[in-house]
Amino acid sequence: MILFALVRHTIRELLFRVTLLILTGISTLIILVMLLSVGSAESAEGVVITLFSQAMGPPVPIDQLEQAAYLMQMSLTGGLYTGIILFGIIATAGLIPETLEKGLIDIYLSKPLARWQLIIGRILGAVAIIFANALYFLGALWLIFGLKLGVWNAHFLIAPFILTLVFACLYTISVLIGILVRNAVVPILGVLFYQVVVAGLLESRERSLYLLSQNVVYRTIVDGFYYALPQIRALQASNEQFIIHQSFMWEPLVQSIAVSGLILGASLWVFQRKDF
Amino acid sequence: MSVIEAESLSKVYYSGIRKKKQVHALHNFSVSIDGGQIFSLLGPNGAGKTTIIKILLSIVRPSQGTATILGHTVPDVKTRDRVGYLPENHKYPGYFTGEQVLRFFGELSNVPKKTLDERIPDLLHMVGLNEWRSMKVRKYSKGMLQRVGLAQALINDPDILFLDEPTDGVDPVGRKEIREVLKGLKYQGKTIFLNSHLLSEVEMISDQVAILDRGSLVRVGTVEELTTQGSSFEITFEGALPPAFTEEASAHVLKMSVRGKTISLASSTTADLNATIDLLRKHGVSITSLTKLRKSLEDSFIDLLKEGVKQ
Repeated sequence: MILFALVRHTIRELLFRVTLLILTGISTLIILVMLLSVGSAESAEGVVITLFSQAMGPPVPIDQLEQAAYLMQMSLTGGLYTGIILFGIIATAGLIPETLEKGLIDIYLSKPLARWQLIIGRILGAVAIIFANALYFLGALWLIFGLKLGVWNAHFLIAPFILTLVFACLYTISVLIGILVRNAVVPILGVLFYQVVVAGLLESRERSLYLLSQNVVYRTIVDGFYYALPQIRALQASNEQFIIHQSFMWEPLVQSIAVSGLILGASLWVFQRKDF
Repeated sequence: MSVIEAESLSKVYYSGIRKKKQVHALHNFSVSIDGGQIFSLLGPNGAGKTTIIKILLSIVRPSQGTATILGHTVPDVKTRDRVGYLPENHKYPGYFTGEQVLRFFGELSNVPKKTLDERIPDLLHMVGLNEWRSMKVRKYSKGMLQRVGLAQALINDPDILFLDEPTDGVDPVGRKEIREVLKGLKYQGKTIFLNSHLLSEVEMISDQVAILDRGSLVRVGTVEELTTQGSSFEITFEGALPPAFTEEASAHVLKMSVRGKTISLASSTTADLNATIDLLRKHGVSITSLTKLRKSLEDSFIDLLKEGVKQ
């Protein structure tokens, strides 16, 4: 009951955040635009995919329409991931520091709940609302592709789950920083730095970091970091591959879950030992 | 039966980048508090009053010592099952209404929904917020926040109530109402652990008072024990005091002064006091009153702190 109350309260709290309202608004706008503008027209050479009645490219042979739609879905997913996750992190980064504010944390901790429940309740609430948003947005896009183009790509339905997982992995970093610094801005900057710089460099380490030195120890250290941190970029790439019906890479999924679990464990350990 | 036991509690805070600077917030604090009474902690700012409450509620970990609440050892979650807490400068999410504050923290206290449905209106009525139950707490005044905070602390019908400056920001009428609420709770058998700067208020309602200074316990006792000035008395009389009385009485009293129809004296034993009274009666002086002298709690508090500083 306590955990449920915390999750419900967190969802409720997030619904009051402007950032999340903007995200939902943008999602709805894109859904409406797609719904009203995407179409298809048959021609002698195949099917033309249209946007606002304008051809988006040359006609696609009917037997390749599905593949073209998959590629569109994959491109959309890549861009939308960044947007949803960015908005999601900005909207939720303040949850933990606000929970730890003097005057409020005292009341929380005086209640018969274990400290881990407080943090887990907040995380579950944040993850639940991002999942709902992703499901709403990506689910609607899946329906639009099905209804407008007749392409019912079941693989696309994995996208909300992977997106939520990516968010959850990044959110564990935000939570750890939030507990350490008790400030809402630093976790956002920390996650952005990780997502844009660290994860980007590590994912493309063979084309970037490796060029700095050929030293084996250096490269082993770089590899060590790659395997010791959530492989967010690889996970996103794996999802995109799956959408276009290529095989799903499990390693980034398992590794990201395991490492994020460790980061979460570290957060709970730090929180357990803190005085307020 | 004691409901709160603290044994040699100490707390040292470390500050600075290398955590080398030490602040001794509490030093060897031991106390045993019986159920059904109002126990007050007094002390200047930084004396360690809030630290004690926070240790008892597992908000702060003690550097040394142990504590039990209702038989459970701190920091066991069970110690917080039957307690309520109103912290100093408490705050609630601003989008909550007064009623929602109570419901949310009631749920966190494991209070069943049906019980909450019944208890919330009663508590809001008790603290005088029934009319503002649907107003967002961000619009509440300081006094209203204190009231909703008190209701929040009572939402799980606790056996022990920890209150840190409960009347802070409350007007005199509101303070009196809160005092009445606390007295009512005491008569229901609840134990109230109170931190307050308002000594007159503490004096009015407390059964036991502990005085803290710079993290150390200076004195514990009833208000009576803390405010009584040893064996000092005041005797008022009618008629004239014979000239020989002062000399004769000096054998029985430690100190004596006469001002008008009032004799102020300090005697070391009850027998000496009685001997002085007998002396007055022997001289045919009519005694109209005999009063044991008391200081105000504020004076006692300041004197005890001064003694502490001297030591």
